[in-house]
Amino acid sequence: MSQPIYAIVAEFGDPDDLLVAAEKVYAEGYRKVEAYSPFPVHGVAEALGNDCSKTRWTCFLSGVAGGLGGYQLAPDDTRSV
Amino acid sequence: MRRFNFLNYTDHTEEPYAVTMLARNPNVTMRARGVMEKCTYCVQRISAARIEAKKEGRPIKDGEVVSACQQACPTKSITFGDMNDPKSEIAKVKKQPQNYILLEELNTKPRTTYLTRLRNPNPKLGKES
Amino acid sequence: MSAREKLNDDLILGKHTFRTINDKVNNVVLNQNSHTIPWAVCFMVGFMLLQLMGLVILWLLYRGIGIWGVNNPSMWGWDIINFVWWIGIGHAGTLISAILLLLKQSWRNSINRFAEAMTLFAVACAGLFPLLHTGRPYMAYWMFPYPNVLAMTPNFRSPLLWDVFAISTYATVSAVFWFLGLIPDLASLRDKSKNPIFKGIFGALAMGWRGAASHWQRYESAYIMLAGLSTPLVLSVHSIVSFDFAVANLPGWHVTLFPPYFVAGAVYAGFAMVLTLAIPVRAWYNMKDFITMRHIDWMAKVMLATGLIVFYGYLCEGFFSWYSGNVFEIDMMRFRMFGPYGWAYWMLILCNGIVPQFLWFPKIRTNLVALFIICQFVSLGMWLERFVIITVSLTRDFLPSSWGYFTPTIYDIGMFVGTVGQFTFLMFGFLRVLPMINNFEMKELLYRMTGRGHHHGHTAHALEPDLAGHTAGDGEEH
Repeated sequence: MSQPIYAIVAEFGDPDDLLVAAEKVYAEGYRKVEAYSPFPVHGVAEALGNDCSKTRWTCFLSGVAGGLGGYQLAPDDTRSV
Repeated sequence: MRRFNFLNYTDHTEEPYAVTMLARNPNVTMRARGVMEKCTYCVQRISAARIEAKKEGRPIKDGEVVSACQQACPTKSITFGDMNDPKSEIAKVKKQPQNYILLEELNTKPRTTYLTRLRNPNPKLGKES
Repeated sequence: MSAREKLNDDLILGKHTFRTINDKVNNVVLNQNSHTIPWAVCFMVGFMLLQLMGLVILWLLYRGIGIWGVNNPSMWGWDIINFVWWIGIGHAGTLISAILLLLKQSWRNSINRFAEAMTLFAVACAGLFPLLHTGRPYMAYWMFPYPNVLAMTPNFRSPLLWDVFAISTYATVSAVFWFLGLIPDLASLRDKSKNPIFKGIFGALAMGWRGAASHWQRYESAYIMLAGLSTPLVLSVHSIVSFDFAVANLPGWHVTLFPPYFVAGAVYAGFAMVLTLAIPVRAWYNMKDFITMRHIDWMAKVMLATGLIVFYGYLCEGFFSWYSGNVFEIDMMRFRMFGPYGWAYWMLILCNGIVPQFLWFPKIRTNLVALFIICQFVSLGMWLERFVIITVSLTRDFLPSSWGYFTPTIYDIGMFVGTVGQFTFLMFGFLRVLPMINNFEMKELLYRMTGRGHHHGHTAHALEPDLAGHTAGDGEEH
């Protein structure tokens, strides 16, 4: 009985090849895929179906929380000491 | 006028300063270094008067607060009081035509104003003393 | 994709592959023998001057700020001059890292790390001065509006309070921006380091960076957001510093021209400092392939442009003081030009008005010795600008009875030289322990420069694992 295949690793010498491969793999229906590169290759993450909406929401909500926190420090004349 | 204490000009711990300074000016000693020296308009005297008035349930009377400089002035050239009370001595003095504000055009609205010296520019009316 | 437009080849010279860029940048940190005698000299001199500053600060904490030349009309002296000077120098870093990023200027890639580090260290030098200047530095937290039983809150109508927020925000955002940009490079150092201790340190700092596509996507999204936050800061920080003067009612300070003219001056001084550091460092570490003559030429052009704005500001100040018809304003200009500090004004015009005109000539812009000397004039000129603004106005205000004169003491000089030492010490320390050039951005730049016109999905490639290894292979792709 042969060992079950858990994962396949492929190495590309050229970023453009990685991009093409990413698109093909996604088109074939694979979803648990990740691409590693030493610098950002634009389009690979999108080709693999990622989006960074989580980052945006986290940043926006942190910003709102920080802003509200800042207002808490503003002087309040009605507060008795 | 304000002055910054760039250095520790009075050593509060060492004689003779500790006792003499406190004796001559018990309420305001020279502050420590790193602090602004600024006329407080004798806030401690104002406070004392306010507390007395409050105990008796009345407003502070005109002339009840006497600032230290006013008290010490031999020619009585300093007036101190409540500018918001139109009947006060200070309000009357400020209405005099010889009242002027130093650098008024800068619009910094200082509360200390001055009375200019009365002069006689007409020699026919007599010699200016 | 716009990422593949053909770029000017002059941004990376020589025959470079992803591997050679990676090795060259990392080598400065990983191979400690790459640091030569000039590094040791700069670091040691910086360290000695830093110790000198430590002594001055110790004496200052013991005696009070009266050891400086500050006196009663001239309550701001060298301390505030140095503060504004250092804060201004920091601006080039933020401009390069944020504004040039948003404008998609590829020439920022090799100088941004360096310039951002310079920003942080300049802000660290600047921050010392107002802190010590308060007179009681141990009470500095009173400047923040924290809830307290003293029922004390800072005056929000004072520009000095805005300054506290402007500078602290600037320092925080710059530090976060710098660190975020460092993460992928720290991961590269972690992977390349042979020493287990350094591997551990770099690994901890890289915070689990693996270079996955999803990492890069989040990274770029966060980086752009931080650039968006930093961009208004480039303009706001020095505007607020200028409000410290412009909001006051003093002749020579109460000028609406100050914010734009201070910001231009800040960028001007900042680029002078970037060039002052970049010109020797690129030679010592043989980074001429990455910080090319084109980079230097463009930085010199930015200096020329901002220098002209600053000079225009001086002309405007002269014109408006005359045109105002206000006796105080006219006399202020007269005191600046012909008063006791007239020498400083004319030196300022020479340094910031006349000398930068040489930058019109391409031959001078690419002559490193000439450019280095011009940068020193610019730094001196920007220092004198703050000296003229602060000292002349404070010692010649409305009432002749409160006129005075300002004389610096050895402690003023010690503080100034000390911060120069602190800056040098931090800068050369940084060169040794962190990559001075943004490693991954240079690799990306090379990728864009060698763009072979591939288009997203247009070219069909055989989908087969390329295990043979390419010259462009980086070794970090797994």
